[in-house]
Amino acid sequence: MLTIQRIFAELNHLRLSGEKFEITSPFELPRLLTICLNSVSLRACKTLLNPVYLPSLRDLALPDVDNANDFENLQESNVDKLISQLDSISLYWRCVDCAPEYLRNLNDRTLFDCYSYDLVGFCNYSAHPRHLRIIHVPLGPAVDALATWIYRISRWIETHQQLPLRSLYLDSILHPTALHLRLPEVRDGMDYLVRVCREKEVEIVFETHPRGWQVDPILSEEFCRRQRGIGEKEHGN
Amino acid sequence: MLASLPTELLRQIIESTIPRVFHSQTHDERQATLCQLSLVSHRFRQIAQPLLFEIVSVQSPEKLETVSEITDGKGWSDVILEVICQRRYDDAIRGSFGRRNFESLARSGKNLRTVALRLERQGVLDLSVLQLLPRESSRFVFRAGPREC
Repeated sequence: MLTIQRIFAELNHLRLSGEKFEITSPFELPRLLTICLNSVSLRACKTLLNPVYLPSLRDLALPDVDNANDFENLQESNVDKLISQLDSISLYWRCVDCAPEYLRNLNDRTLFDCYSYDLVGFCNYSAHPRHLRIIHVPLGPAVDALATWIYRISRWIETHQQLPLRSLYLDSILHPTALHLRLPEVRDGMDYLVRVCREKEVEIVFETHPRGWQVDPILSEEFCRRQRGIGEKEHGN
Repeated sequence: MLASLPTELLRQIIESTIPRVFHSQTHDERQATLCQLSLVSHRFRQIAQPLLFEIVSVQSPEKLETVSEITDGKGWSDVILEVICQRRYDDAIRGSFGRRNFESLARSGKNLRTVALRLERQGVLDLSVLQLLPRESSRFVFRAGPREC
């Protein structure tokens, strides 16, 4: 049957990476829903992070924004005024030390990214994310590396006292139906991880993760969808 | 059997076989699948060819111009949904993405929703060019949808 559909013909999603940008005079992107800025593009685009210019923004991703200089740039923007309209934020876990208070208080709405090779640092640090995504899962012939990090995150979840984690976002290549799970070491490791997550009431969410992270979508579509649902429910109430 | 399927249903079947957003791991395969489907029959080509231009990933300004020329030439101004421009340090390509490219995009990307720019080793791009992109607030179109029960 024929239905009438409304088409919005304005920019909804913007991802910028690299230092070759400037904003000579700020401008409004009235229907922009998501923006992703890395540490270098943040420097050039900080004036844009303002509810006046991004009135519809719902999701903000700041991958690799993790040191004091980056957060100085962020402080010079009006991102603090944007916070109330955001459903979700995506941050690198190492930023928790130097992130401004208004970002640290958003644990419920933040998906923290951790690179698989950085998992040792993460597990040794007393980080308290509610939502965690482990990206750049080791693939290829390095089966040992894959099995090792699955074991490591499983142990962290199992032994953590008062674990705040509620959801764990894993690459879909680790889904029980994926080929890698045919390898006994990996399959056993995943069985262990699934078991401890069930015991600790941590939900595992499988999703295609960014690999070419400077061009791939950084924001987790599923995380944004869930947060949007929560936001709408809160506004409805 | 295929011949008796309505075009809109065939389109949905083809769309369900390919990723609907850009991902560096799947894009080449997506485009290759659509190229192969375009060779199946005239009817398949009519459906698959525009889908090739829904997600545009280019590494040079010239390629972006070519895409704009093709879509303009075919009258597909509402086909492009997502554009990914990459200009990396290791690219030995001349030219910079600039205002002219976005002027072309504004013409050929009436439905453009997503822009990803990874710009290194080129001239500085003033992001105010994003204002050139279509700013039509909204419009209504008729589309075939699922049958109501």
